[in-house]
Amino acid sequence: MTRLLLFYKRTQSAIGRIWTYLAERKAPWFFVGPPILILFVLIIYPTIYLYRLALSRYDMAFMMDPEFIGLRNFVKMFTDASFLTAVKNTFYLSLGAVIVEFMLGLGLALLLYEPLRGSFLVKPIIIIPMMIPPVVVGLNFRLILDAFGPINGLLQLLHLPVIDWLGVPFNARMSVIMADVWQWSPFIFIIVLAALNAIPTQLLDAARVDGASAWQLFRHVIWPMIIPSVAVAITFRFVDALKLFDIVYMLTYGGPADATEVISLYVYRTAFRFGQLGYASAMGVVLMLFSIVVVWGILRVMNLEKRLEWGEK
Amino acid sequence: MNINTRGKITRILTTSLRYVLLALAMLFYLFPIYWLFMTAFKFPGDVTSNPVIWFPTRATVDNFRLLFGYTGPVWNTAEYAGRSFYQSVSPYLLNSLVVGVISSLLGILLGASLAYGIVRFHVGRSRLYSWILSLRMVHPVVIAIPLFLVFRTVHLVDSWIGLSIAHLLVSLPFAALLLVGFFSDVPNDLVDAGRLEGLTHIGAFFRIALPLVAPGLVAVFVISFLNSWNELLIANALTNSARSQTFPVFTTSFIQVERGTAWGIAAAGGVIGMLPMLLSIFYIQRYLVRGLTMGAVTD
Repeated sequence: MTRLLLFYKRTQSAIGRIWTYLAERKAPWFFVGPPILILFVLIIYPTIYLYRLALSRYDMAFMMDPEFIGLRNFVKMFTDASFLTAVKNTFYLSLGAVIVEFMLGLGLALLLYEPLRGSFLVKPIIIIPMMIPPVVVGLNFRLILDAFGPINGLLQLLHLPVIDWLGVPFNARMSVIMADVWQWSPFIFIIVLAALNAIPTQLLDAARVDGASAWQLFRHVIWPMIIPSVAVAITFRFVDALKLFDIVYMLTYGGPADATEVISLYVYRTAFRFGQLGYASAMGVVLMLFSIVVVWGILRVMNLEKRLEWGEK
Repeated sequence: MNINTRGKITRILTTSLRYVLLALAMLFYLFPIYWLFMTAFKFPGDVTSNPVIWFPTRATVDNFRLLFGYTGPVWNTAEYAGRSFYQSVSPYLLNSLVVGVISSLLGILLGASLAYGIVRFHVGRSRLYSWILSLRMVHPVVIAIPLFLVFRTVHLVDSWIGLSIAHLLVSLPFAALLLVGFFSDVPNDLVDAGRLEGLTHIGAFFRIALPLVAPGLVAVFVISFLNSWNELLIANALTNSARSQTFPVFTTSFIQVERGTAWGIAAAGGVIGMLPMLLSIFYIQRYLVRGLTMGAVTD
């Protein structure tokens, strides 16, 4: 009994010592290890799995195992008219949405830049759309753009012809952009406003004293100061616009025909409605590469890296 | 007219122009919300009537009662008694709540530990930081496909735990990046003082560092919860019954065309879906920009 107790005590102290050693000497791994492991399991492993799936045929409907078919999925993709339409739509919809959001957000921020009585109320109101569930935004715009909804009601009131917002391809695209702009232009507004408020007033005063016009002031003083923030805002918006899913799902479900079909919806349907997991994975791989290229391109175009380096020094 | 009065007139004109533009913008942002609330309290006949009813004169809460599975007579008519076409939203709200809380709590715990490791021990430095930031670029549909297959083999599809783990995909990097900012503001001396008093690294983390970033933790919790609450794609892919389907997945049932759209009930659902946001918006507005850009921009 005594020996058992002694053994127990010794082991305990040994474990304790190892524990203390690990907790003290290898402390960084205590903190970083578990989360990295989880991220690895959640992201790295699925990504590798995705690449493997992309090279195989795996149809859930036939209950068969994945079958290696090489690059055939990728070949199929470039002859798949629906996919090409989805790519085109995603590109135009994100570009349109981001441009309008940028102009609206920048305009609004410049509107509120100089002090205006009551402008403190604007920020709490304007951030509301961003946190509304996108599904609700889609639903709500479906309601507002309904044939008998308030927008058409307004047109009627003004004796203008009513518009079939969701039934005509061009209008449906505009509607999707409108909903996205409603939800996300506040994002650009808030970031740009923060950047504007960070500009030292002496700079503006100096330019004014030198007789700069409003446009010159904007072009040569304000714009160079806010461009890093603008670049960050646009990058984030563009990345998220490529993820456009919820609003389209609720508002048009890709329709009419495939006028608002976007990549995420098409991949989603291919995978989870039609069960073609292999083909969907191949499209996923392309989507992933595409977003990397887009982000890289935006940073390049806005020359952000250089500016950031310059800013840090 | 001297220069002074002309300047005054110009100023008044500019100011009024700014107010007009601002009012138009506010109308644009507030009208859809107003319309959703109005529709939620309208009688079915008033929703898509012609001409449009801008300011309803009669209201009903029966849309909400139907939404929660009430089957009695509604809208002053007896004909609806005993037949509700709608599933109750309650189990879906519960699922959303549970999944949101679990994934946000796990996300915060793991994210805080990761952030602390980065800030205090400089693990991986900026490289690890930008890797985590780049995770935001990952498209959810891309991860959903392999994750679905993995979850199917380990029987996590259609369960609270499975969906919570999947939502960690967003909440963990999010919490880590935001808390890096908060931990950077904690003076190293404080933690060192605790260490001198005999605390282990882990003790110092829990007893000194974490309490100091408490406001950040709350903000991160609320925003991750809202992210999880709003998320549709992953939830839709990884669930298939009322056991674990979340509120956004439930919302998609409103647009199924065969049923025709019951706008009143759908709008009532929308109002319910906005509640967590409306309850917390004043608290999180200070952290929202930081949160939405994952700490890349501080307001």
